[in-house]
Amino acid sequence: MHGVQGLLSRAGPLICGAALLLGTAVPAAAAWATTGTGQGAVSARTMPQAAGATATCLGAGSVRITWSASTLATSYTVQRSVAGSAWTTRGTATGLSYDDPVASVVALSVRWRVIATRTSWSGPASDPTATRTVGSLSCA
Amino acid sequence: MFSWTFALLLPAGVGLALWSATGSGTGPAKARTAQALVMTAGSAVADLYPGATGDVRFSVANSNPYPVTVTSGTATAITTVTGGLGTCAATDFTLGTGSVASTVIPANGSANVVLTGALTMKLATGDGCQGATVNVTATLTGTQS
Repeated sequence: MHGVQGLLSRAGPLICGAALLLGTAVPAAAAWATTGTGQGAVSARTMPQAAGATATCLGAGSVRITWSASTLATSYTVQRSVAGSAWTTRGTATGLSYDDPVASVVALSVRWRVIATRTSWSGPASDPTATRTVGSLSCA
Repeated sequence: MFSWTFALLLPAGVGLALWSATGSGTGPAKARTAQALVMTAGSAVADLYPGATGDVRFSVANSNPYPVTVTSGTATAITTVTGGLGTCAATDFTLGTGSVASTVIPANGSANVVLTGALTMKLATGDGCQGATVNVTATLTGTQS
């Protein structure tokens, strides 16, 4: 009997401690909330200049204009200047080349340039290609 | 030759005592109030182009003596549009609600917070908005961490 009593007397405080732990509500750690109102910033890109425009004779009556891909561009506008005249738009391409018929141009100096576009945005025109002397019978 | 030796003799049980004092009463103890986060424009990243959605960036200062975790944010207004190639206005953009990744602002410190997807440039926006910077007003909410 003494052995059992001794065991109970030793276990008593432990049981009481466990009961306290189980029975006592632990207060929740309350976190304070805070807010702020102010300015932030975001900016817009700029349409890059098309680059690497090159004019290659395909034979008499046609010239192929090629260029490098431009970030953001979804299409390209090709323009032509004949004998130093104002630039006129020849057409658009979604790829990286455009074949321009030149049969109606008779032995005159011609240059091309390319403008990268995306929806309503357009970039600066590329540097002009080297001059080609083209016509219905020749391209050089 | 004589020499004298003096000794201080104290009765048994009498020791040198240090002074001590106690008291009780009432005094004021005032709780702090949470200080608002101070937000300024962060370094803008060129996210926007026609049809694209951008992230608004803030530098956020926390003057509280404890860290604050920013958990949510809402864009409320387009404040200014500056620096474009030409005409560009707030009407060229659509404000979204955006979302914030959980960000800890150190006690008495600052950190960058990004409000993701808060602003969209309209598809028909013209060349005037190329290179523009848009300032957006937003509210960030955080909790002590």
